[in-house]
Parts: sequence; structure tokens; C-alpha cells
Amino acid sequence: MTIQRQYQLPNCTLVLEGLTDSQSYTQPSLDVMSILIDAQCHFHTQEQQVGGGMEFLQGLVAAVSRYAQEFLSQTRSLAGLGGTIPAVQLQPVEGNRHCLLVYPESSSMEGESSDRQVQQIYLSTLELFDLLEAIDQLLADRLTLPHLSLQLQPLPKQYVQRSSDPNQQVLPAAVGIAGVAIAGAVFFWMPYPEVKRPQQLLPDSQDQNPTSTSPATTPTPQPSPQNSATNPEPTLEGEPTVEPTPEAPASETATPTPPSVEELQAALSIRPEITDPNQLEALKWQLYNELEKAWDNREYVEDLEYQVGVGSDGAILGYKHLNAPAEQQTESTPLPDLVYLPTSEEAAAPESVALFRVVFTENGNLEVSPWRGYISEPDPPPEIQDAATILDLQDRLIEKVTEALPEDPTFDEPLEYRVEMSQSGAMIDYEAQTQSARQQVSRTPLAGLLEPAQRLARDENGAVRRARVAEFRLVFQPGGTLEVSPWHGFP
Amino acid sequence: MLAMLPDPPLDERECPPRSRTQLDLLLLAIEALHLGGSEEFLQVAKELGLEDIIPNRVTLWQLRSANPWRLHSQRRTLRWQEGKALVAIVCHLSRRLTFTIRQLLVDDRKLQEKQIPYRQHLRISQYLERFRSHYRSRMNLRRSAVAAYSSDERLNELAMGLLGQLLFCTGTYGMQRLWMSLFEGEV
Repeated sequence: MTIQRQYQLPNCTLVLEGLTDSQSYTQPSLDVMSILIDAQCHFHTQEQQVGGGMEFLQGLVAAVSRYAQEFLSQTRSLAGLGGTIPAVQLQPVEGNRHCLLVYPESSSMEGESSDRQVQQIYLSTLELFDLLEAIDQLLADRLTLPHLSLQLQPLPKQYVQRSSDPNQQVLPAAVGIAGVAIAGAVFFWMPYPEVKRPQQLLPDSQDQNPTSTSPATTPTPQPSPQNSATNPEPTLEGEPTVEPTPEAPASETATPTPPSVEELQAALSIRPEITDPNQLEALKWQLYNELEKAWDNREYVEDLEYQVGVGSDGAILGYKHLNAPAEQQTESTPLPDLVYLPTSEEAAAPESVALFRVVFTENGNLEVSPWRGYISEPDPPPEIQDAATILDLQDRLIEKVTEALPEDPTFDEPLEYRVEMSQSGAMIDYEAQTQSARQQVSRTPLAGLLEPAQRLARDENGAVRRARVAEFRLVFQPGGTLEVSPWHGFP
Repeated sequence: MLAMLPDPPLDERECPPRSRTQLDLLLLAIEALHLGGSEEFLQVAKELGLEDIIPNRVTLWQLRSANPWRLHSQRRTLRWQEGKALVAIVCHLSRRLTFTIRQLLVDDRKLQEKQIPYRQHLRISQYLERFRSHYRSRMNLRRSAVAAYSSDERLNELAMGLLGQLLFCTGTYGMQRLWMSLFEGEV
């Protein structure tokens, strides 16, 4: 007894014809189709339809299912999986379209030679989805071919090719050169108006004799390279690390040439150094936050030390290693990923620069300090004086902490903290006021609410500065109540 | 509810970084499609009985900020259970928005065939505008991966791509497919 099942969607209909083992004359809809005779797939906007027997249907299910996973994950599986040409294939085409290829079935009769050619149908994303949905409804239907069910397995790394990520694309060499020029300018900066001949900026390839050059001459002591034999002249790394896509020949990668001494001097003469302690303090935190956030691999044998140049808007303009491990392991730090790539117009714009010493320590800590220290002590962050704002921030603090508290919090004793809130309503710092508050901080939601990055704000020119803050006294009482009051009272 | 989603064959019970970005971007696209988006995430979490995993706005924000592209990215991972919860929310809301998503994709096709720019289509240009402004205000444009989408054109491509992916989340096995796709090439 043959029965028919139909899965109909707005753009596509899948019709299956097959045999049933058992037959209930009362409710044919409950018969189980166990053997397939013919499957036909028809797209409503297309002239042709594709179809075939079990081999076709299994090929269709496998191909569409796999392609959907690739579509969702933006990856492509490498060709050649399985070795044989599958009966059905799907490939992406220009303009967000998808090409469905159906090969004639191996079991088709000789006499049907007219059909023995590959069928090609171009589908839009909607048509592709409707085809997938028809197939998924079939897979979910326990009364039709119950042996077909959803089989999803992610492909292992070696079979997957990442879709060409835009940031993996080869950048024009000009950008690389501009990056090097900027970095060069940053590190070429010297505290005195007369500029020394920057031998350390020349590439090693020029067969210089690296004997008498000292590192950048700065009034503050700095670690000299530990071993000048194993530590050649510091090289500049302002250009992004660009990995060619697998298909791209290696020769296409951007290989910027170091800028000439004249170029560096010209770039340098228009770049004043930032010395204002308050601005340095803000930029220090900005740099710290950015590196701390992006630093994933924290296992080093030795400290890695760098000099890093930062623009007034917090952009990392370039960096230079100060010791050999730093040179070898640059790739494992977040620096290459974070260097700001200027557009060609921006590259020429004068910008003031702040220099920092950055140390990625072997025990996984990050240290950032101004390269030349502070001229004077930075002021405390500006305080919010306006009572209405303080009241509003107090409400937001209570709301944040209350929302994040567990259902029935219990503490053995009152836990008191001083909390700093930024004008934007973020908790930027907290400090335990008692020994027990220090020990039990993990039982409070404070750590999870901390947003240290919010201690910074930007002025109308985009420059980084410290946000205005208000301080509060926050007490978790044993009964679960929360007491919050302004640290200095209301103005 | 989350038991429908099988565990991928991995030792670490954490979602890889790419998947954290993907989930956050899909949620961002839903917000751009639908003004009540972000409020609705919590509402849906409640409806689906996911309060244990996402009890409040702070937790939701923390889960989304596991996306390394975010401006205030939290240095945290996303546990499988948390990833599954976000998958459930994305798929549930896409299903509600099925009509809108399909309509925009039909119109997108027509615009492309006639080579009409997006700005002449009110609904698509509204969606794209909202997506671009969400993206620029919340992602860390200093990261090279994020900055790759700095131009309007690239962001529009990203937003329309996400719309297609949301469509795939609306299907019978949308949840299973989205969940498994997060581990593609990570095994």
C-alpha cells in the first residue's frame, strides 16, 4: 500500500511517496512509511524540481544539514571529506545565494540517459531555509522513514576552513608603513630638543655594528638589555601582525619597510609628549584595562617588558620590547592585536603621545607605569558635588547590589565597604573597611559588579580623562538588609 | 528544556570565544529588530524557566560581556549551561519575530535584484541603523577584529548576515542547530 507525505513551506515543498508495512484503514495518517519509493523537492519560484530515491534523499538530508551548520557558524568544511562525490552538494555563490547540485543516482536506469546530467538550482537564503525546514520536519516525523533522524556533529578543526575573516585579509602595505612610521615617531621621542642619530631604529639588515648604541637616552634609569649579544637592537613593531588567508600566497603579505631617519624626525617634530599627571593617570588606567581584558595566555617563564606609546584618546600607537623574552613572545601578548591602525588620513595628523612601561610578569600580573614617572602627584579623581546626582547614584547602587544579592543572604556580622561610583552609574572600586569584610568579600556580589573600565570618561575631543566619582558607605547587615549612605554626607 | 541540547564532544565544559561573540551578536541583531529586545530577554528567560541561570539583568549582562569583542568585556568564560540558555532565548525570540525576519529577507532579495540601496527601504534601513549604533557603542572598536566592521557597508553586511542566521534559528531544530554550530571547528 503506497502512502504519500508532504512537507509544505512558503518556498519549497517536499513530497515523499512510499510503502507502509502496517495498514490501518481507519486512520491512514497514522501509518508508518518505512520504505521510500520516490522523493520530489519542488521550489515554487523555480521551473525545475529535483528528485530521486533513497540515495538522493539521504544525500539531500546530509548536504543541507551540513551546509546549514556552515551557514550558522560562518565556516566552510574543506572539500574531499568522505572521498566520493556525494549525490547532492551545496555551495555558496556570490550575492548571498546558494547553489544546489544534484548528481544522477548511480542506480538510475541506462534508459534514462536524458536525465543523467547534473542539475543546478540557485537558491536564496529563504528558499534554502525552507528546504532545511522541510527536511527537519521530515526528520522529526516519527511516522515517515523513522530511521532518518537529526544527526549533528561539529566538524573537527582539521576539516574546517574559517571563512575569510576581514581582519585576516592582507592589508595594503601603505597601512603597514604608516603604522611603522607612527611607532617610529613615538619611540624616537627624546627628552631633549636636540635629536641624536637614531641608530637603534635602523634595521639590523643594514649590517650595522651594534656595539656602542645604548637604548633610548632617558633621564630615568631603565633596564638595559640583559645581554646585548642575544638582544640585538630593539626593533619597532607598530604594524599589525597580518596573517595571510590560507589561499593567499605568502608573497602578498604586507612587509613594510622601516621609515627613513628624515621621515621619523619629521613625524616626531609634531608630536608633543603628554606629561600632565592627571592625564597620564587616566591613560595609564585605560591602557591597563585594555591589556588586562585582552590578555589571555598568562604563562611566562620570565617577565616580558615593553615600552608602549599611547595617544591622548587611549589608542595604542606602537610598542617596543625591552628584553629578549619580550621580543620572542610578543605574539602571546595582546599588544599586536590592539595596536591601532590609523587610516592614511589620520597617519599624518599630529597627536600627543604618552609613553608607558608595561610588564607582563611571569606570575600573570600586569604592571603599567608612566615611562618617566609623574612630574607631580596626580590629584584624586574629581568628586561629584551635586546632591541630586549623589542621590541618584545611591539609588542605582542599591538597585545593582540588591539585584545581584542571592535569595536569602546571611552574613555573620556587618560587612562594611567604601564604594566608588562613577557618574555613569558604574561601580568602579570598593575597599573593605574591616578585616572580616576583606575576608568575606566573595560572599557579597561586589566583585561581580565591578566595572573598573568605567573609571574613565572621554571629553568632547575624545581624549581620555578620569570620570567624576561619588563615594558611598555600604554595609551588608547580618539580617540581609543593605545600608547605603554617601561617604562624606550630602554637600 | 536545555536537555534537548546535547553536550559537544569536548573535555572543557566551556563555550569557545567565537561562540560567545556569535551569541552576543545574534542578541544584538534581535535588539535592533525589535525595540523591546533587551527587556524581553529577561522576560523570555523567565518564561522558559531559566531563572536559575539568568536571574537578573546583571547576570545577563555578564553573560553577554563574555564576548571578547565587547568594550567592557568581562574576563570570564561561558559555561555550557549558560550558552544553552542564551541559545534558547535567541531561538525563542527569533521564532516570535519569524514574520519580520522573513519579510526583511524577501525585501532584501528584491532590493538586490533591482540594485536599490538599503536607505530607500524604511524597515531595513531602520534595522541597519539601530544595529550599527548598538555595535559601535558596545563593541571595542580598538580591537582589530571589531574594527574590521568599522565602515557602514561592512556593518550592514554583518547585520544582514545575522538576519539570515536568525531565520535558521526559527526552525523545528533551530536550537539544536545553533547550539552545535557554535562548536564547528572547535573539536
